[in-house]
Amino acid sequence: MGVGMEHAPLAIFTTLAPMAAASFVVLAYVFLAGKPSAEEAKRLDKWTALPAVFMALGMIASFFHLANPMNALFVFSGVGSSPLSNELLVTVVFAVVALVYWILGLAGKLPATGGARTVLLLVLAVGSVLQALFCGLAYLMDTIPTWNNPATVVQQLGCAWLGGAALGALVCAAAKVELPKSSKLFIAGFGALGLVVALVGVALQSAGLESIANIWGTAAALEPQLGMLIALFALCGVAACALLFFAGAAKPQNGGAAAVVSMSSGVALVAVIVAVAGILIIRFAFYGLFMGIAI
Amino acid sequence: MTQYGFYFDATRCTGCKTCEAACRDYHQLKSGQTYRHVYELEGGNWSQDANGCWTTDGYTYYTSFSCQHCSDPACTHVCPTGAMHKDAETGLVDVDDARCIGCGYCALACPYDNPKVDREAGHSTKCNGCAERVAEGKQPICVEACSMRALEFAPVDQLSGKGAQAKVAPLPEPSLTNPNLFIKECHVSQPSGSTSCRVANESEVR
Repeated sequence: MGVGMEHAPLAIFTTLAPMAAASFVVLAYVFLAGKPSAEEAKRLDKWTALPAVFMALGMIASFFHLANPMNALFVFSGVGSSPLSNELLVTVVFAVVALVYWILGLAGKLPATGGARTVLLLVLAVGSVLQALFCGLAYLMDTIPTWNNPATVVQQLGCAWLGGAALGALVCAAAKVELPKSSKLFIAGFGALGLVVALVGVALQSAGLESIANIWGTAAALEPQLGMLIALFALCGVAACALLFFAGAAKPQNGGAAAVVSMSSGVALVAVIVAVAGILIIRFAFYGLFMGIAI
Repeated sequence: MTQYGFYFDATRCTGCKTCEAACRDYHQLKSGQTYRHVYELEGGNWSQDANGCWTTDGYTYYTSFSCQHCSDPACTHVCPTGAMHKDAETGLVDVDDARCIGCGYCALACPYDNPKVDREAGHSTKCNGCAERVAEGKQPICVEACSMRALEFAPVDQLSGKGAQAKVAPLPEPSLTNPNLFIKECHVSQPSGSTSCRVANESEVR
């Protein structure tokens, strides 16, 4: 896949970091709609380690892309002018706010519901969208016509939501919290929305390839296997969303008055693995579509 | 600032690639590494007239280019650290090794395929217009080595009257980065964006 494989660290970063960020949308939903008990909130805070680990792995992977990570602090000097600096700033700010939220939660400084927790979760949920958008914006350059398309940003956002839904579900499952009945639909629906948005982005990008050419040939010839890669991504996405839907088992609450949902850790874990595999495939496909405007 | 740039006379170039070789030798580049490219473009067809006589309009021409030290460089715009910069006095684009993180963003963005990341060295590398030679009042080594005198290097106001701002295949439209490369086109030169010609020496330049 040529350039696609050369950019493996970036493919890993743009898979793991945005999905870690988007998992806070699920956490925001769980805390706002679910009203977890103090004990459940404590367990959720403990398992918020999972998004933290995914974010850390993504950032570590991005360092492997650099020839000289020792100069990394200079990247903030390009904020405002370099899309890469903007992306990293947004990611670092998000990670710091998420870390503050996590540490406060672990230290018992956040209420189970409401107050500072609600504010922080809403900030993180909105921030996760910004993080994915800035990840996508980093690839818009008028000298790379195959990437220089809003579809690049759209597919990045969709992938973040698909992965974030799966990772958020895993946090809830591992924390063994009882979720509201609507959570089955919300979490699987969030993932499905991400899949659809990502596929729209991928389709828009693919549709324009025939009309792009440089001295070496057409962009459509860059990845003869693109259709298969998109199909694999779609298959993984559908499987992940189905797993998310069936991971939640309804059980009677207080003598059967109302149903609550508990997630199966095993099924949610498989959903995460399948979602990550699918997103990685489509990210590699994206990098493989690199084409200079002339040579 | 006095913006310096290159001039290339396509009516003189024979495609000998001495410019490339001199650059690699002078800068002690590794095998496979080059700051200057000489593209060999060819095209045309054979056709048969009513009498059965075959004629051809086949052509070949060469384009020698390195970094264009653009006035609006894509590489400096995307560089996150400011390592890729234009010299305040000469307008030559160079890498500050002490700031570069080797992210390769410049290499992706440059439409002239000039900066490359040298992972061993830990930073991007590129044509710097032989800035140290220019400071001594000398010409860049590629210009000095050209036996056909097809290359020149000077302040751009001395070059712009000799040829048009580079707009021949395989180079991109000059409006993208405002390159400081001026070309005297030969009669078969194809315009930027043309796909009617092909690169004959692909294995050399790609």
